[in-house]
Amino acid sequence: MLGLRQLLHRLRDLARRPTLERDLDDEMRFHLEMQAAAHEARGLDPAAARAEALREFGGVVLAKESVRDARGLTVVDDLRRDIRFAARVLRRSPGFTAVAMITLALGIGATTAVFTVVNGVLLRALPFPHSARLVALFEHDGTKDRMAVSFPNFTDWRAESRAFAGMAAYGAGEATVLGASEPVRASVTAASADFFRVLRVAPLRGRTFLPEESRPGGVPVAVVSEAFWRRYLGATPTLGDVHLELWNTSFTVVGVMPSSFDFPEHSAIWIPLEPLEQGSGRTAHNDQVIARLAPGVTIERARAEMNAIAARLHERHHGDDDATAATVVGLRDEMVGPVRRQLALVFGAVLFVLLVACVNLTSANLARGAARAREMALRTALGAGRGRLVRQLVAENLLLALAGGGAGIALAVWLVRMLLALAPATLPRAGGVSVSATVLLFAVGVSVVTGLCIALLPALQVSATDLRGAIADGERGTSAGRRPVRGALIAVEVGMALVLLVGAGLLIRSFRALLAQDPGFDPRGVLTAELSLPSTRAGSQASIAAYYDQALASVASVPGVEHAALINAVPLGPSGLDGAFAIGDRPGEKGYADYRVVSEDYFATMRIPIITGRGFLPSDDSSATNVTLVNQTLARRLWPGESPIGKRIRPFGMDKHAAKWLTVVGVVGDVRQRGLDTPPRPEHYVFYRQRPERASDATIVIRTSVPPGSVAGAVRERLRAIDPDVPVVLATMDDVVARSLADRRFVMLVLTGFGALALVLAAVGIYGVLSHSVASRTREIGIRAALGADGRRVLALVMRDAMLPVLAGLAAGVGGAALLTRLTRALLYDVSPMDAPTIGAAITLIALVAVAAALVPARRAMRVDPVVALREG
Amino acid sequence: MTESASELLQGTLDMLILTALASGPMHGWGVSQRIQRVSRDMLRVNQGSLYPALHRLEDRGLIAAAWGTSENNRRAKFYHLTPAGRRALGEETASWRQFAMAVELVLGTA
Repeated sequence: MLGLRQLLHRLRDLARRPTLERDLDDEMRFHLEMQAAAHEARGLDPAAARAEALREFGGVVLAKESVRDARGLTVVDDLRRDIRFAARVLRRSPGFTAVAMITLALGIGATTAVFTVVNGVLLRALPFPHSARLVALFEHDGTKDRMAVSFPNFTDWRAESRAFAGMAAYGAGEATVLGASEPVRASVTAASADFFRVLRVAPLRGRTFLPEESRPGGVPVAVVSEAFWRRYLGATPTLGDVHLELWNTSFTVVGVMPSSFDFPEHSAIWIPLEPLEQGSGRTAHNDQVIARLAPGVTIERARAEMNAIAARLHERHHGDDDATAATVVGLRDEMVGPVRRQLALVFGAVLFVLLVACVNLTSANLARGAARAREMALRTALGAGRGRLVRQLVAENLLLALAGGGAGIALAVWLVRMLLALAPATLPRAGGVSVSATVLLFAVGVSVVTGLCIALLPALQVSATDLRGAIADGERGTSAGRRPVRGALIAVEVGMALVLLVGAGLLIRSFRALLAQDPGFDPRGVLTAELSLPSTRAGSQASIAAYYDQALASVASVPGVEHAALINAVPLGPSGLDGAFAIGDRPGEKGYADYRVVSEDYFATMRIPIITGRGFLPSDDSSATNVTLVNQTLARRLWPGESPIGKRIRPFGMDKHAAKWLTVVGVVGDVRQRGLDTPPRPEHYVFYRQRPERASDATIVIRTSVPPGSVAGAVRERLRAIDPDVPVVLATMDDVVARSLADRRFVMLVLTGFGALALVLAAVGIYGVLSHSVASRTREIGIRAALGADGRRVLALVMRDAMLPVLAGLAAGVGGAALLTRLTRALLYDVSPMDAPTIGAAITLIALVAVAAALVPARRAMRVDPVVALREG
Repeated sequence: MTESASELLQGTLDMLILTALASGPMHGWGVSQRIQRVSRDMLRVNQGSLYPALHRLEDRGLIAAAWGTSENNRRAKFYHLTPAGRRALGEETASWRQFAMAVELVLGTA
């Protein structure tokens, strides 16, 4: 080992290298001159003396080289030489180099691309100072996972907790904003006083809320995002002149948040929360709560404290407070939690692809190593040490991996764009996904590790080669011994490809099962128009109902439209309202269901069957008995074995008629509201003429006899003619369904892509190994042929050689798939993780590809001419 | 080439260089001359091994070098023993003597 002193000495030498070289020359020249002078003194003439001195010295170059060696200067030289040599070797076999580079570029590129997404979404710190100290808080009632926090509870939490340096509540929603350059639908966040202070972000311009504005009755002010300010406010420098109208209230713009501040995601406007939350109860779980941990406080301590406070509040406000406990989780975990599993799965899959690429190159390297055994042996005989040869191999593979990695980075830039295009719109933090310095570092690291991995086996092979045997036998002596290793490599890559394909197959089957899942309505041929009535219209019940009367009639008269109807939240769209209600025949009990406001044609438009009773009628107006329809699930849950017709329920807080009972007049078919993979939830429908107030944001669904997209223009025209201030977002119901499956589709497509890639790589690997094995066994095959083995026997021989490792790999792959079921189960729908048809199909596919890949070299073996083979071998 | 006497035993050259330098700083040529002279021409140091050995010893910190002016007024690199080198010389000399004595004993009994 080098001592520290020697190391420093060496580093100094390296730094002074040119001086040292000169010194060395001087020293040698001085020696030669002294020696020549000594010879001259003995009587030789100057020329002869010099020649004698040189002869005695025995080669200046060699001596200098030895000196450099002694000083450890050769390391750098060697490195440079190794790399130069490696480049020459790689250039000499362009075919191998090209295939290897493509393989590595694909493997490293795909891995880097997925890492870019994983890093941007999961790993990157939130863009707030000391963001690891930020947490999100929730309430628990002992039954549901967790709930948003009620404002009174939040206020008490903030007052009673000691674990936090600051706590803030917020709620986000969409609203129609007037007063900007055009009416716009924007994401508006109502945030409590400390919101910006907790996140520690200062405004780009102006200020955030003043204490007196974060109080009931405060002057309405708004802070806008930089993007909103630029796009809709013309980047005006005079903020005080800008007034935005939201919910019939005029807000003065007082500040602009920098574009780096995107919390909650996509928020364009922030307004004070406190004035909106006056009088809300402890069961109104409206608000999201964030907090910053106080210095030195752990999340566990904060959790313990919050649980105690929640229990205390529950005790104090018994009956009014349904929350019994509280949760504290890291804010970043909270934001990315839903996609963590999916991204982890995709990352795992891409690592498999990279591994298959590595295995491929390892086996290619082994084949080349065997072919180069003679070269290596000769170089050893000529004085190259084993270490030197190993170093050479490592240099070659590192160079290859770095070059492949470089191409991979270029590929990754493009792949990331594709991944983001495929990714569901709900992917959190997608805006921050980019090929950053971290990503580049990762790519280089992966390249180096890959290079070392693919050099490992060939290096061991060089160390173990019997040189004399190699020189004497040429490559034949070594190849036979390597066959089991290469068989194992084929098995490994086949196994990994199978695991990936089974995973992809299971996701495809799940996706198909979901598409085949009857949602309870017929989405085909339906156009949806999402509306948001501005506050001027949403002010009174009469004006809401009147707007829809007019809009529905107008849309229904568009040619090609069969029905037009209204609902406040379409199934499989953004989740709608739900709430508790009293049950007429069971005093003291509460029911809980989704709350939907619809027009009379809704069920006909969506083709949802009315099971018993009747639907809504135009005669169910505000003067008539208030009626409701329940879905089958709610009917079964509330009144099992009984007819629900004539029963009564009374929603508590859903509308302005809390005192009026609703009479059930019919039961309608279940629909899947929250997702095709989520069973129908209890749901009840009210009629928009009787209860319009929760329909100010609603969707008109339009059943068409022509392709729904073709009436979109006409529908938009009609709606604009009625009120140009109502923003309209059009989509077909098929789009809504597709969007609800976007995250599954993403994982499925990516995994299928990776499975296909692994399959192609495995095929290339099998082909390569078998080609080489056939080439190196030409002589043996020739002998067999000469001894009478016909083409078929030869073919069988080679194919058996190829298929044994493939079979072993398939078996291992099935085992691997079985081991990984725990990871995939959560992403599957209506299919077992060990689904026999899927596994069978994957096995068949791989077997076919393997046979095809093996057949080319096997047929070559069949055509071996014994005479030629024996003469040349 | 060590033409006369013997192939130098591995490590012996180092000891000879250290011994030569024990009498004072000298340049590489001087070291080779001194070894040759003191051994009455029986030991001749091959220059091809002399300089690597000098640099190796310098690298190990047993000798140090400085540029100076030679007896004939030429720029030359002078080597001298470091304290560590002096210690190493003592140890190597002792172990060499022991070795030589052992060999002598064996030869004497043969």
